[in-house]
Amino acid sequence: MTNPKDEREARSATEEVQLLFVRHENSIRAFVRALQPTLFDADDVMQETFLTVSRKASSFEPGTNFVAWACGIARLKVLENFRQKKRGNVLSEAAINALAEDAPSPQLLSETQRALEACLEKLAPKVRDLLWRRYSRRQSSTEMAEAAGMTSNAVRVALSKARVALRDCISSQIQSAQ
Amino acid sequence: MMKEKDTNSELDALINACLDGRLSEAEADRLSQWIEESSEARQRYWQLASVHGMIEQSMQSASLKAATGEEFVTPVKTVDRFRWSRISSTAAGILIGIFGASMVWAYTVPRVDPAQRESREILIESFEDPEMKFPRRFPTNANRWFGGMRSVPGQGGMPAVEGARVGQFANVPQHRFSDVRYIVDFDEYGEPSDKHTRSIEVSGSFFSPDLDHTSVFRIDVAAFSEAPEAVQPVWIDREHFNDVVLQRVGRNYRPEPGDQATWHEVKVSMEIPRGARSLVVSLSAGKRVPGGASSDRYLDAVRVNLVDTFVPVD
Repeated sequence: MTNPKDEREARSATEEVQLLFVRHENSIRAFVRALQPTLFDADDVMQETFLTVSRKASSFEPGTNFVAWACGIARLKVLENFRQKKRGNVLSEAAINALAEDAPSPQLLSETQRALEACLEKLAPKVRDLLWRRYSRRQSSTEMAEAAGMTSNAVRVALSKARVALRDCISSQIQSAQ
Repeated sequence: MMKEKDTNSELDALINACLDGRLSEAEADRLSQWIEESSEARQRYWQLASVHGMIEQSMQSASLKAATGEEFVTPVKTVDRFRWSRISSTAAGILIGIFGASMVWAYTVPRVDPAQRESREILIESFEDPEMKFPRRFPTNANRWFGGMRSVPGQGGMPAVEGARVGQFANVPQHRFSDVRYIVDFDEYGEPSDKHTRSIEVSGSFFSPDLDHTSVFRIDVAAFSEAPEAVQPVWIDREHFNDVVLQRVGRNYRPEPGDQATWHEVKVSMEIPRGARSLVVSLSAGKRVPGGASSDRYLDAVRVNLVDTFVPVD
């Protein structure tokens, strides 16, 4: 028979990691989306990660780095998803593993997020509008092209340039803060 | 110096294509190799991919909303757009939806008697990915949709059943039916024990705005002993098809004049014979009679459940 005290402790550990998950969701999600760029695959991985984090709550040692622990689980879920989908036009399993090994630290992810918000405001309104349509409204390139009076190819080029501009801006922001 | 700049530009282009899901297989191989071999490439990937991974959350900042001049629109994947996904049947199910920038979850009711009936949701599809590709041919492999369909936003008169987008069947005037197909590979789910029978339950919601009720919707499931890649030749060989198919069930739904222009859910279930390797799931919409009126027809909330039921031995 299960000891009621053990049950209470297990429940408490689960609630604790679930709260931590919500608190650090942005960093975990950034990690997942970088390894699993497709939005809906990333959603699946986040969901599976949350389930596993909850199930393995008792193996998390309070006081240690929760984001690193959760990202370790997320990495395995990305690989599971990768094996299930078996697509030919995505990164190889070895590449995903290599990327996960070299993942930025949780601290760097937080700094990147802060710098990104400042950098977004420096973009031209038209470019911000494209990013908003793509990432907030989740429109396809075709839908964005119709709305913005551009070709789909021009939309893709503009998005690529916007990401590169943001990356360069973030790097300079982080460097100047150091 | 120029060479390094060119190399970085090429790498950036590949990473951007990867983030947009538009790498070719050759490009995926090249980028993978680059990442595996070069720590600089990995660092460059992370710098660009972090931006991709973080923009969504940042887009919700008030300053950005003001700058774009748009009213704040909750990111599409919100209150009315929670998405169901694969959830392990053995776990206490937890459903997560994205709710603004945070996550909400709910616990599903534990199964009443798992020893008697174990149901696994092996596919839930609500066509939420606007970039979803549907090769227009019979499926040549498992775990992917094929056929005449595209993902479109739900409209005011046709809100999505789940999420915010739906699948729209191709409207080809000279064709009576359009369909999408998906192959389930039973090898991925293990054999049921001798004391269990296995069945499949498929459901999908169909919609057509036509008011003269000229549409017919159909779900068809067929089991084969062949591996997924080998089903196509069997499927197109109509002369021998009935000798080869292990089991097949189909169901038509015809909206009647009294029906509203609303979503119609169609369900099919079928016992899976032992030895079945592949299951072809077909969902079709078309004209009730050849040459009938063309109309837009939609599909949403497709679910496939694998059910193992305990059968006591006398």
